[in-house]
Amino acid sequence: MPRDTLDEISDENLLVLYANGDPDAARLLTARLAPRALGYAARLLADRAEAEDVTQEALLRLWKIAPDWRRGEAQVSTWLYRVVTNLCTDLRRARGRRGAVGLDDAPEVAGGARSAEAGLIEADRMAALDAALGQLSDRQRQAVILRHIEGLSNPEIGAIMGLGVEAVESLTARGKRALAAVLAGRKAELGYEGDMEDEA
Amino acid sequence: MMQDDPDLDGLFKQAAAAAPLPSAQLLARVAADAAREQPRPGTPERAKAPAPRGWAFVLADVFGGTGGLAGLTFAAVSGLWIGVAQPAALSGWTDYLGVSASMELLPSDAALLAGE
Repeated sequence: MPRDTLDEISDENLLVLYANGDPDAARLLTARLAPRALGYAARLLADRAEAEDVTQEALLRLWKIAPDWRRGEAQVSTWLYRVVTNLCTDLRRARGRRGAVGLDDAPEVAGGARSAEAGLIEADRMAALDAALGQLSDRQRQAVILRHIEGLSNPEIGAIMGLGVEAVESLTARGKRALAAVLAGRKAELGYEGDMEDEA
Repeated sequence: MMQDDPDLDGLFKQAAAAAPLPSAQLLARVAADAAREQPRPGTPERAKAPAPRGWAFVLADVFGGTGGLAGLTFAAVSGLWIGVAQPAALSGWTDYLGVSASMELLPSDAALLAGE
């Protein structure tokens, strides 16, 4: 099938094409879905190598289920986010059994003269965000990332997490407050002038 | 409703913009998986083999289900028991009716010797 035509096809129809042997469908689906799965997994795990493994495993499960995919029951992206969520939860639990990684284990945010005037570089802020996200409960972390970083709607998050819209709203609000509270102690290091905790 | 937090929202935007892109190695691994798992064009759909069934289920189908098979088994066992054990209740009843009779299933030695 011509590439231009494939670009306009929904994820679900691409999956059907893949199951029917179309050689280009998997490449296009990967281009669409792998970055989303990787980005989400990387934020959940704060570990690039583990996030890549999760992405590969989630997509492998997608390829395997393609011949039996039931059209109209779920969005492909929603299904994939759910698989990534579950894989990351399992990994974090396994990691917890080996020894928890907390805020104190995160890379140190640069201080002193380097940050006093120019603020921190983006990598430092992202490291602080990852460490703070790690302080939330699994469900709060998932909801906050899906809502505020992945940019999904509350109904989409509800479908992924098996929750109603109101429960998602509550979870994201509490998660955001908790995140602000954790980061408030580091606002000077992060180069923010405002009081994050008060505003939350 | 929680107020927006400009600092936190700014951090979220930075995180979204800084999302990692899949490496060439990851894309190659995913492509290899997809190629290996993809059904081949022209290949008949994998037939779902029926679950293996035991001989009892096959017999049950022949005799009209498990109920039929159970009834048949009960009748056969009961007949054998009556014939072999000759329960007292049954022999007393036949004696009373004067219809007592016996039959040898195997010929006697004398009959065999006589060549009958």
